[in-house]
Amino acid sequence: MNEKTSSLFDNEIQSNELDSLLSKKERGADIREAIQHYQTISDVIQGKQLSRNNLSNKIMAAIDKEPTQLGGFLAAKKSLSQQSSPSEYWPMAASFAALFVIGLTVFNGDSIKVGNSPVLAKGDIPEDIIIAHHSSTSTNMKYFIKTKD
Amino acid sequence: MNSLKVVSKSTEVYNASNVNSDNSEEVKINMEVRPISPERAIDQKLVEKAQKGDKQAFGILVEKYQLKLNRLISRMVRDQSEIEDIVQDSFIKAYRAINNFRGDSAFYTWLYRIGINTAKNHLVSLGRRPKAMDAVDIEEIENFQDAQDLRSVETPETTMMNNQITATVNNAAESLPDELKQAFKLREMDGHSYEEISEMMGCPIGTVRSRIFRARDAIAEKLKPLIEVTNKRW
Repeated sequence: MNEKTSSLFDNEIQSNELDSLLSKKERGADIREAIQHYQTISDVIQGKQLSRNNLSNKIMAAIDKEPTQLGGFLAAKKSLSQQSSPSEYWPMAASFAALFVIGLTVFNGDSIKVGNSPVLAKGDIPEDIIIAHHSSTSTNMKYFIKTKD
Repeated sequence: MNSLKVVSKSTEVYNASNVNSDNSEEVKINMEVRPISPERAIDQKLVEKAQKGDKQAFGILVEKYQLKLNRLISRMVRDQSEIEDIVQDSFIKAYRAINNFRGDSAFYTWLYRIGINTAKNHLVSLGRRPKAMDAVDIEEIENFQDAQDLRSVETPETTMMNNQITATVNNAAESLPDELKQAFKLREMDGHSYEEISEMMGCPIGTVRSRIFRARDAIAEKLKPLIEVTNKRW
């Protein structure tokens, strides 16, 4: 762990190593303590003024009282869900195609002229069937069986 | 014909060649692109983790920048206890606003701006004019690294403790094995990258990394008892 912390302090840590270093929550205080020591050593070696402030522990105590930020996580999740794959559009495309076909059929149906519709010869159907049919079908003209006369 | 190639690994220089087929005149456009520093890339990764709810990632950012922010604020505010309050408030504000950070600037630039505004508001609330505000402009923030003007009240005791820490670190560093000492000093004193040190010392980067860690670890072991005593006294 400390070798990775040392690399982190030098900004030489790899992305996957950083993930690994931060994978366990209980390590947080140890990592910060190690960085504090490395900072003190670095300041001495570079001849900088030493700080007697251990402010980070105080700051982190205050941060721990803050609600955990999840906005980025939710935003990332949302943006991920917004990235639709092309296959998700197929049902919508199929629905439009079906509506188009139905619409076309209805449109053509409206334009069908009476004279062009199939005609049954009166003579081919027994009279009682024709009467029964006329009495049971709706009043819409299209439902009536057309006869020659 | 268009060509795009990376000339240098550390500094990306794009060489876009546009050859006109009619008169074979070659037009070259050299455009130097400022690379993202490893520090900024690591900070960005830590920010992203903090945005996903990882508080210890934010804790590392606190550890990295609290001292630098302290030094920056000390240019505007004299009282050390006020400086500490401002630094703490700045980090809390940064944490609360972390989801607004989009990475357009370096994290520390963003943090320093929050720190300066917090200090300014603090001074205004006390009826004081933020005198240093004009002097600390954005460019200065960008370039602010680690000023030496950390304001602290030196007492004989703190001076003595600092001297003890300094002596302990220097003695421990001097007593390191040569190979550890060399790698450690190339890093700490000369600021070389691991890659540069590996070339200088003729060893793999992994070895450099290990030597620097072992050097720090050896020094830290001697420093720990002293720091524990120091923390108790301070």
